[in-house]
Amino acid sequence: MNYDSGPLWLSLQVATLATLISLVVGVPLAWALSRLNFRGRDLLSVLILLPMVLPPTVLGYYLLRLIGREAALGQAWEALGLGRLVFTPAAAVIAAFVASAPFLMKSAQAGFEQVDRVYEEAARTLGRSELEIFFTVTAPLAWRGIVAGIALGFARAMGEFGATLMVAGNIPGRTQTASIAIYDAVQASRIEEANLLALILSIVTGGMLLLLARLGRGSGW
Amino acid sequence: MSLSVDIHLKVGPFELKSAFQSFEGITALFGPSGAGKTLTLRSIAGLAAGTTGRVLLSDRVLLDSRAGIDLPPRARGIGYVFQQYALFPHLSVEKNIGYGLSDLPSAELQARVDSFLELLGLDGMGKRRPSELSGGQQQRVALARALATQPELLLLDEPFAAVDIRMRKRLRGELRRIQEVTGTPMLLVTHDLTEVRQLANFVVLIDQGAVLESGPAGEVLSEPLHPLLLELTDEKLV
Repeated sequence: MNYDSGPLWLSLQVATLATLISLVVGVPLAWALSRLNFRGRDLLSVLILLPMVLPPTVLGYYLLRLIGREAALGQAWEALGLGRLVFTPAAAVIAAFVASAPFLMKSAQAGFEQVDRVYEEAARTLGRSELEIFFTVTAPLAWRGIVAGIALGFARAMGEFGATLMVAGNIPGRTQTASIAIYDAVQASRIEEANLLALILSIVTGGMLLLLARLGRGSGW
Repeated sequence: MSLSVDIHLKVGPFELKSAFQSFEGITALFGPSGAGKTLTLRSIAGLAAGTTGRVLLSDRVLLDSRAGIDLPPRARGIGYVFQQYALFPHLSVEKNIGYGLSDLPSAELQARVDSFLELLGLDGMGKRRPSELSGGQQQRVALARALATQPELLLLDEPFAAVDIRMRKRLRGELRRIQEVTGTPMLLVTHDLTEVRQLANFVVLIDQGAVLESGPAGEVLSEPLHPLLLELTDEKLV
């Protein structure tokens, strides 16, 4: 049988982008939550956890209210000349990011919390700046937690369905990710296609997890 | 070099009010457990947030809370040997020793690292990880790492606590030698009178967060003015 590999490629691209954004945004936040005492720390913690426990439909609904054509972010996007944001691949990335970033952040935070602060203190007395200390001491020592977070976040992003369907829709060749294509195939009784896609999605995601697990064990220290 | 300390710090119910001076050579910060010795070191290094008062190192003001001066640890020019050494577990011995030298050109950095490996008898160990070293070797790496940045003052927090008695004796002799070779003034926390006798030029007696007595080691130890010191010396002499 023939099948369209487009949705799978789209899922890979969306999940990779979402994970990269999670890294850039999530790792500093995870560090801050593990190291700094600031007002609103608990609130931030809860906000980060919420996407993990809320139904994907609720998440999708909030996102629609944020990036829809009537919403501030959606309008800002259009004002930049980037066109409509909802029902685009970019919206799928946003949905995957919001749904998966908490997994990366929680794991990275646990990684940072396991790093004894005496190493950072030693680095300070040796004259290095806080940013240098982060990259040369804290992050390498928290490496396993960060890699585990990347793996979990990526897997979650690959499997994102509910919120993506609500904000990016189901446009074949444009926003139809693998998980949505599977749903679509099942709805249309294209069982063989659903089987194949589900199998490939499982193997690809499992393979990525395996790869990252080896990376986490191997390097780091 | 002269170090002049007059600090105040509250941590929960514990109050530290520490005032003393130290000079060249080795100064022992001596007192029983829980006296505030480590906290004093941390305050001097700039690692204890909330410290008020003044810390002067020669002609440099490190802390003057009234004038709003509080230099961060990295700007204080003070080396610190932690009790458990705090060697970076993910870096080789060489990388540990060179960690504070990132501003140097690489050839110069390597030369400096090599000279400290040699000074501390660590030749050939540069590529090892800290976990592959004995306790005594780890301690020497910690010393080398702190001294390599050529600090104006070196703080040592019970540097021999983590090694056995035989090693301790040897390391004490070595510390004395290294102090003489490098000329780096040292402030050493200890609760061991033997250590004070063997190493210290100057003694600061501290208990319950306050300095009770301080002066040249000979004077303080031969004519103990304070009952606590009498108690500690008697105990150790038996």
